[in-house]
Amino acid sequence: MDFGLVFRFWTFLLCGFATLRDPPSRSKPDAINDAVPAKSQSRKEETAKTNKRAKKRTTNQEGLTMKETMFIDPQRCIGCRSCVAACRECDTHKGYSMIFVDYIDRSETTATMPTVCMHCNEPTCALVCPADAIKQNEDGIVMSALKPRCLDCRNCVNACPFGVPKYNSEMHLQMKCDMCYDRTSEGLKPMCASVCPTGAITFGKYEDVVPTRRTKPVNAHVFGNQRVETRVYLMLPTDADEVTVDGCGVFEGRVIADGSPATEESWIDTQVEESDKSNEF
Amino acid sequence: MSKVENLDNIIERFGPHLHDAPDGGWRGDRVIDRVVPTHCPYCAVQCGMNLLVEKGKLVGFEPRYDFPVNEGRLCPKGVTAYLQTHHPDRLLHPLIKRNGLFEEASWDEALDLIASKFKELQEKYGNDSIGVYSGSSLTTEKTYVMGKFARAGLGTRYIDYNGRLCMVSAAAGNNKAFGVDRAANPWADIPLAEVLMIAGSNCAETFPVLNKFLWQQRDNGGTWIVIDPRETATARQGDLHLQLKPGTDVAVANGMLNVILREGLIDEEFIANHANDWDATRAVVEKYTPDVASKISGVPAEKIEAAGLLYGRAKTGMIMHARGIEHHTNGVDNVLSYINIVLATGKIGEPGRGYGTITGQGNGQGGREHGQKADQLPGQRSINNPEHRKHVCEVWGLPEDELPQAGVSVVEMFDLMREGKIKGFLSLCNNGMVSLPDTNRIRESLEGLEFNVNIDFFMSESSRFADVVLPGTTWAEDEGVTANSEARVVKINKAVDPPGEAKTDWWIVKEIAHRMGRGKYFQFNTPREIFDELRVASRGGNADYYGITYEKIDRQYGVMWPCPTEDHPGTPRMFEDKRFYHPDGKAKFHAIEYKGPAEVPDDEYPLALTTGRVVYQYLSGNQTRRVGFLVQQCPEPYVEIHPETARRMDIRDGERVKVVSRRGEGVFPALVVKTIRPDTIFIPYHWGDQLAANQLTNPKLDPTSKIPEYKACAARIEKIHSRELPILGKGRKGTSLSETRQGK
Repeated sequence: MDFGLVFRFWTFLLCGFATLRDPPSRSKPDAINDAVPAKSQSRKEETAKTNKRAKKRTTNQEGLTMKETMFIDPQRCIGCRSCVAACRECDTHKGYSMIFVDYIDRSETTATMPTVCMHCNEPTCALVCPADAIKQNEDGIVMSALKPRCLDCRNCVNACPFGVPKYNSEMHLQMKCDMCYDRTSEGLKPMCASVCPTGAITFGKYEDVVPTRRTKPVNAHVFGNQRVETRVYLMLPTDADEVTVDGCGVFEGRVIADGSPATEESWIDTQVEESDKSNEF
Repeated sequence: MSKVENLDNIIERFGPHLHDAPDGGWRGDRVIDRVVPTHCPYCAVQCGMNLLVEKGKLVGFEPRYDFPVNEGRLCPKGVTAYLQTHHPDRLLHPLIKRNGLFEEASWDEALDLIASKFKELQEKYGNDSIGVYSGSSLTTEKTYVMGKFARAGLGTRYIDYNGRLCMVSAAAGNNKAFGVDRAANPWADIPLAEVLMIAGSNCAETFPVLNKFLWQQRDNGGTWIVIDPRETATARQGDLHLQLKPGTDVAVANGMLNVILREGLIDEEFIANHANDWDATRAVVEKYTPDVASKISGVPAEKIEAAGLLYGRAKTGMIMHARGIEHHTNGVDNVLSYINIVLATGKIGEPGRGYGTITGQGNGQGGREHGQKADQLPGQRSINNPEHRKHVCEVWGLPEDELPQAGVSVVEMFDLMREGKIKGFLSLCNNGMVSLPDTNRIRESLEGLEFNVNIDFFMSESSRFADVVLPGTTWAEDEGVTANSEARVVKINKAVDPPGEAKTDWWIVKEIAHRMGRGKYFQFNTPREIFDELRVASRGGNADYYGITYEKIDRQYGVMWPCPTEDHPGTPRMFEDKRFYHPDGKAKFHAIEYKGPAEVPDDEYPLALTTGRVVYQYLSGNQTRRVGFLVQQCPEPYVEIHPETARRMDIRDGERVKVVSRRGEGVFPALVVKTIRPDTIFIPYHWGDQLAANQLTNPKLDPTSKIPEYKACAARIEKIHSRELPILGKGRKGTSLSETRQGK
């Protein structure tokens, strides 16, 4: 049973095929008149500038980027996999992408869903690690396994309810999304959230992001007997306070909906997601 | 004669091969020497991006958060764009074909050969025996030079550009209705519109970053109406999807306007004061009740009704359209029928009230403004207008009688090649063997040429036919301006030097002109000098660039034309004073009757075939089919079939089937999806040779814009009992199908 797949499918059911509609209320972003600072010359300057902006935004708030987190809105995902491509560019990732975008069921819909590490408050991956190789830093970010400690046991890979960590057989190391710690610690946005065209992956402060959206932030997930709270929010068109996944109805990549016969997955799902579904790079 | 021999040899030497890592591999310890702010080389959002340069090599990108259009966002093509610069397939030396093999040559040798051959052909067959085919992925400076090179350098009337396959229907429609060819509103207006009507555009895949504005509109409580034969990622996110039969847009648009008219939602005051020819249009539209429109288009009448009411009742609203309605023999009609809705409701020239065409290529807008179009001179001037001719000849210092008359569109140019009227050919920034309709005829045209020159930075499917291939530059190796889809002129900056002996395109063309004795018209040494001449040439025209300078572009994050003086800030929104560019200052309605596509399904060919794009590939794929990441996501074309149709023919998902039209056939894996109409099939077109969707498409042209009908032709599917599966799983890694198949 692949809980990751179950989770992704379940989230999709919650989102539904259509989009949430609400009565209009207006605020006026106007990109054209946004005053923007002069162009940058170096990455360092760029960083410094973004830092400055971040500081400005967070006046009267304790901490700076520390409180910023990720918001995943599957409705907005257009399946372009720009995030997947950009993730490889992060200096510490060495060309490996830590993010997955799945077709939900291409034969039925073009809907897709991005998955990043949800950064659990009590990370299962760290709990099951016999070598204590997976650390949470002071900001609550769950880091990739520490290379000197990682035992190649893959406990974390199998235990994560979201199906996120992967084992890199070449480097003998578990690897997962660390919310671009090398970037966020310098005040830059993670690569995936920087490039995402629609805002399906957004990085920001709760009070900045949530009021601009018509979807509800949810960060509690129930997998059978396990309840997981995460630092990353899902933005869902639902009233529920938590996402409940019981695993019934989904088995081995086949979807059995309301007693109707099993539908085989479209080949293109397999084509694009093959690497996502295996536990190894 | 320009035939392709030794294809295996060509593919082995020039690819497409896959390349998927920056120079020196993925490393975390790079010391970046320079960060160069520039724009993406691909579509016409022209997203800002920073290129990272280490020791003279492009090694990555960094989001450019400060550029207001995309604020750091990029699509997967943009993210991987830098990988093409140091690609092992890059052409590094001039190549001359001898005995069917490309041999490296010096620049002098290649350029002298071209000049002498062109002179010889022109002496023998006349000036017009040379055709020039240019493109809109070039900087505006280069497009200007190409137009000038054909007219003042070669003295031939035959020049056209690949925007002919892209934007011309919109351009012709805009000119007819508004008297000027430009999107009327900046994208910053999109979030202000209550209702957004998106016709024939899967902008989620083809213009991904535009979705930033679309979702801002939605966050503000806005609604989308999407008109498309497929339930694309764009349509899925929309509120109302009108899933019409390909090519029936006029019926749908007239149907919606009929509802608006019936409900009294038209703007009588605007129509009376600011537009002409309403009465004739009204008379036609009255015939297209939702029921009539529904019968033609296959869209339920209630949906047409609902769409008309949504747009008609909204205080603000915008209509945007793209290739889906433009790639038709009635492409201009389609465009005009949507503009009729805009004009009838007076939703134009105000914040959140407007109209826009979603361009295609990076410089789709700029490339059609400065004189590389068959009938056009710089500044959107007409080559048929004596005053316009006089102005441009004065700027160029060219005697007026030496300026040729209008030429023909590119598809017609390829017809003239087959008829033996065009003997010599110079092509830049093109890959007709993938992008032109009816590939088999295009091959005949190219094979019949006496002398064929190609400038490109990769060996494209079309370059293989050339006698001389010259190595050009990628976007990161030269500077210049482009105009994005909202007519915002932005600046591309040079990041690295060209590899090997590759040279910038304007230098190559200038050298050919000098060797043909026309050097006095090509005295520039930098893109800035070309731009300064272009500014003067465009002065006073519709697309007036006179007030735009490189410095101003940097300062303002782009300048939207018209910008007539140096202290003018540019024009983000057109028609704010409700004055249009026709002599009487009024816009024009057009009474459009439904005609339908040139070829409709019949007993022999029962399905409507429509073609389009995927997000991972760009146009003819010459750039993107070489980038590992992009090829992995979509290694080969497929044919989308509705489950009902598939069941009837006993076709299973993933099975390879033969698709046949009156012009050709191809084998594609079936993607059985409910997101397409049962009477329609879809194939993405980015591949060449046996994989080309354009083997099947209809080369019939729109009478006004001369755009081919890529989006609708009749086809049938044949079961071939193939056991070959689509490229799956690990097989797609490291595989480019065009590479493996052709290599056989």
